[in-house]
Formats: sequence, structure tokens, C-alpha cells
Amino acid sequence: MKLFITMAILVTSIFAGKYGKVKITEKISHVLVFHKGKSINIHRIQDVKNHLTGAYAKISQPCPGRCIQPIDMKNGVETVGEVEVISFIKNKVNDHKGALIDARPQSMYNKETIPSAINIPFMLGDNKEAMSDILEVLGMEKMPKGKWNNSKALEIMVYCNGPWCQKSSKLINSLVKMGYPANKIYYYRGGFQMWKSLGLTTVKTK
Amino acid sequence: MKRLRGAFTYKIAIAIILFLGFVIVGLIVVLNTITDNYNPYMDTQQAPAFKEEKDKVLTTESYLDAIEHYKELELDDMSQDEAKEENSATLISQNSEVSKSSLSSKIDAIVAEAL
Repeated sequence: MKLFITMAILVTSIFAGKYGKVKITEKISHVLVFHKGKSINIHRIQDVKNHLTGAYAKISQPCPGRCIQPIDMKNGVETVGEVEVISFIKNKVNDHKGALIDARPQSMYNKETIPSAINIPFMLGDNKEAMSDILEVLGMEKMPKGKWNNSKALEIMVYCNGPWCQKSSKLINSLVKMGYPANKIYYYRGGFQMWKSLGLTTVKTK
Repeated sequence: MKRLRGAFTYKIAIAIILFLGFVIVGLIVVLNTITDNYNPYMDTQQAPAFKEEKDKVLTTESYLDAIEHYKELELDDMSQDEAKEENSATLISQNSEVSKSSLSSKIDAIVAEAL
């Protein structure tokens, strides 16, 4: 036991030093998470000269279609930022009390996503059969006459491409419409673009 | 006699008003000149340096030097742009050993079937 504690302290100290130049917050340098069975450290890119490149470096998107989304969804769902996302992963997802949901299409999720996120493409919101199965997996209990018992529903956090992306809103609205409790849903409005712009760790599936 | 005294008093009053008028106008002109020429660095050791710096900025030569310096800075920024991007994305194998009872696996199965 003593050996384990010593090793844990040693490993934590090594990583704290490794990610100490650009920390997540003043007190947090990295967070250990699990993605498809593999442990991954979420941290920020330590190279301060690093620039965002690729599709997520684009600053303008055609609107209508990809318009800037409001902070308040007006349906009781709380909007959160990156620190809350990391805290959610650490305290809820790691403890199987919550799920981080990527609402983008499967191809985009496989290409790159936030560690520990699961994929529920927004277009499934119209597929009642699939949504019904998903609700059950998320802890909702099917009741007679198409009703749902939401007392054991997991806390979920939904994100998509960025502050201009409507996919999260569409999926959240479908979930709320089907009976998922709004007070157990969080909306990460900054999405993948803001996650990447802060140099936070991402994962891609081979 | 009274008329004479009245006229004398009247003239004295006008003279006093005119005198005060001249004094006030004079004071305004003098004070204005003093404040216009006031330099906070006049009595300090920094005065010559301040003047030199001011002259330097105003000369065409120093202006061109400043432009050259700015160009150098701009080049520095461009070289920073070319700094290689550190890719933080971690590769995960599609066939990673994940428990089939995990939330992720169950959702993946539903999504795969629905799509």
C-alpha cells in the first residue's frame, strides 16, 4: 500500500512538472480520464507558440445555418465552460455518474473528439426507437403508457462543433421533449472549437 | 462748488475703474504667457533627455528607423506562425478492449444500428 501511494505521488509529481508550464487552471495541470478503455491525461499544449490550424481555425461560418448560439437555452438547461467540462469529466464521468456527449456525426467523432466523450449524433433525435434505447442506457426507466421515470437519469453534458453549432441544441431539445430532466443536462456551448483553441487534449480513433 | 466736487469725484471713479481694468487685463496676459511656456521638466535633470527624445521622434530618419524596427518585429511574428503545431490528439484503436457492458459500448451499438 505504501509503495502504491509513493508511486502515485511520484507519477502525479512527474506529470505536474510535465504540464506545469501551461496549466488548465492555477491549481489543475492535468486530469486523468478513460476513453474506450484507455487512460489519457487531459492537459494543455505546452508550446506557447502553438497556433490553431485546420478546420477549427475558421472564424466565420455561413449564417443562416451556423449562427451564433445564445448562452441561455431558455429550457432550464445550464450552459457551461471548459473548467466545468473538465470538472464534470473528473467527478461525474470518471465515477460513472455522468456522460459527456458529442452530438456531431460519427465520422467527425472518430476523426477527433474530447477524451471520455461518447457519440450520439444529433440526427438520431428524430429516431424515436433509437432515442428510446439511448434514454434507457442513460438511466431512464420506461413506464407504462410511454411515460419515463427520470429519477435515476445520469447527468449529461452535450457539445458539438462550436458556439455557432446547432447540433447540441437539437439533440438537447429532442432529449427534453422525450422527458429527460432539463436539470440533469448541461450544454457546453464553446464546443470542440473552443476546446481545441485552448490547446486541450483530444483523441482520434484509428 | 458742489457741482465741481461732483465732477471731480466722477472723474476719480472713472480713473480708478480704468486703472483696475488695465491691471486685470495685464495680469491675464502675463499669467497666460507664463502657463503657455510652463514645462514640468524645466527644473529637473530630465529636461535635456526629454527634449532629445522628442526631437528624435520627430525627425524623418528616426521615423524610418522605427518602420525598419517594426518590419523586423513583423518578421519575427511570421517566423512564430511557422512554428510547428504540437499535435495533442491521442490515437485510440477502434478495436480497443472495452467492456461490452460499458455505457460507451452500449451507445455505440445503438448508434451503429440506427445509422
